Amino acid sequence: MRRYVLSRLLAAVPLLLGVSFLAFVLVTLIPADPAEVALRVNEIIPSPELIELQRKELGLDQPFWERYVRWLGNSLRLDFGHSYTNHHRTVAGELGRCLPATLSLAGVSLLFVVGASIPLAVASAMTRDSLFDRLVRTLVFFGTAMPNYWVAFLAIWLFAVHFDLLPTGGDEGWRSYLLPAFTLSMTYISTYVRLIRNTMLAVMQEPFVLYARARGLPEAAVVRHVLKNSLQSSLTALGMSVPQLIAGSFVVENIFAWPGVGRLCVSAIFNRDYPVIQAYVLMMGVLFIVCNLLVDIISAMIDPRRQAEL
Amino acid sequence: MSALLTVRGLDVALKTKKGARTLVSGVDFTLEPGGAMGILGESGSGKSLTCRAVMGLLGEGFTVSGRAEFQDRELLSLPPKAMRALCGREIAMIMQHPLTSFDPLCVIGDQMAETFRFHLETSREAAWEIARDALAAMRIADPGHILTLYPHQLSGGMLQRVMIGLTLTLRPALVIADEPTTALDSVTQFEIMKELVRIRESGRTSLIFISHDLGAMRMLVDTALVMHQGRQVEYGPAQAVFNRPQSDHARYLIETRNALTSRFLAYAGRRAGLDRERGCCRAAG
Ligand SMILES: Nc1ncnc2c1ncn2[C@@H]1O[C@H](COP(=O)(O)OP(=O)(O)OP(=O)(O)O)[C@@H](O)[C@H]1O
Ligand SMILES: [Mg+2]
Repeated sequence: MRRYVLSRLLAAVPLLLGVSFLAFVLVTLIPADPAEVALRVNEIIPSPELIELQRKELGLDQPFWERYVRWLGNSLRLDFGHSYTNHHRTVAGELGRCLPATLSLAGVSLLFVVGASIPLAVASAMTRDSLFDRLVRTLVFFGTAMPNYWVAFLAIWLFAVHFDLLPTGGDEGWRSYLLPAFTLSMTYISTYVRLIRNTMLAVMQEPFVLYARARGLPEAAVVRHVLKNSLQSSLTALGMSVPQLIAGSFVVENIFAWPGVGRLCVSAIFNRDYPVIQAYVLMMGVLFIVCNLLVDIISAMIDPRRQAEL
Repeated sequence: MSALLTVRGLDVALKTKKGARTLVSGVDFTLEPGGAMGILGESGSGKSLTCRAVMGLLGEGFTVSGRAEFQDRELLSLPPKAMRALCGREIAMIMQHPLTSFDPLCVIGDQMAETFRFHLETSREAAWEIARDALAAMRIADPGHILTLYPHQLSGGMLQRVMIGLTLTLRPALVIADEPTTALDSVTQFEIMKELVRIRESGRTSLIFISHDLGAMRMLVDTALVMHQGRQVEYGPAQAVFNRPQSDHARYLIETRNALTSRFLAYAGRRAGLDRERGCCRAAG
């Protein structure tokens, strides 16, 4: 067990380094001089001397590798520097301020995903080819085919503007969670309903299900066995929805004016606020790698067939 | 009526997009209490489907017609819940592939205990006790430990014995063994056959035995039914069917099996002879 976890952790190190390098280099590839940008966003007319001064101040005059290593070292201490647009604010502070909103939205969305997809998938698999099953499959089809920004606008128009039931945006209590969490989770609900339903139908063909019935177990107990096995194999996909929901809030947050990190990042992109963009990209990359690692370790831990290799 | 199970005109069809496809038709047999019937037939001839139809274990999409009277109950018109309660308790099945017949995520003890809990309406602890006794009755060493293991930690032969132990504890009136030895090595096959003979000799339980192994069949059954492409082509006392098969197909099936067996025996005999000769030479030299 310990060896498996250690080897997975070690294997994650080069990945993390790669992600950090990409986060750093992608932003420096943008065809604009960060020093000039840093001046412009503060409404200073850039002159060659000022730009030179600013370069020195931001450390941009040093060689590329030196800058990367320093940035990486600082990032490890969660010091991402200061925002260009607002010199008094640290990037870490900005991210910390916006992160709770994103996490709570992702949390509510995850509840929606788990709470909707498992019952729908079970009911759909149990009543295969019935009217209900066909209805669910149609909804799943539309759910995966419709882009969520489009659904978001449709939902705003219908529930917020037309019926005036829910707020159009912002974070004002639980009612403002409903629309963004619904649009954010819709695609994932559709994906997991289809995944879990199809896995259940495949598991139902296994001999152990026939034997469970032949032993005389009531159908509810048989379904419990089927569901357990189906969730076991859908667990990786379900676990990876956590980082996807956090990173995927990027679009939804902007539509619903949600005060989270996704919106912070988009305004940073408009302002060419490089340190914020770099920190956001790094954070999301690390999030994906860490979640992937955790999901792998957890699914190895709860699968009795894999406990031997741990 | 004194017979345990009377099947008349059993048909199984599968609904497909192109209409119903008949998979089994016109199966007729009578099983006396304490009797044993063998079902022979090539792969895909409908042996398993026939048994699953009787137990109500065919999924949706299959239609079953005909009659199957078991202890004065008409099985095919029984409500699904009542039929399910009969499964395991009155009519039990021993499966062909022991390795894949248990839920891989549950320990053996839980799977045995849940079965006992439903049929005997006992507590969890009592059901585990019963499971331990069931394994002990199968002369399995250290049953308490075996119960805590997952299916993948046990051998096919061990799982097959677990399955037989589980089956016998509930004292069903009828056991259906669907190729119970096919997936096992020959030593384990012999062990499992001994258990089946023991069931047979107890006299309490009737047996339907499906196998491709004519030798095993001769050892166990008193009537035999031969199937070919979903139809019943021969049915009668085992001796008559094995020694004087009437239909072409039954004759073909039994003769090829006999030929195989005698060729194997001849080969084994020659090997034994050779070994003896060599042993002599070595002893002499
Ligand atoms: N779930 C199913 N869907 C469609 N066809 C099926 C299904 N199960 C069985 N069949 C078909 O029914 C026929 C009889 O199958 P069955 O399993 O009863 O054969 P069998 O005599 O038990 O063969 P074997 O010796 O290989 O176990 C086969 O042709 C098979 O293709
Ligand atoms: Mg079969």
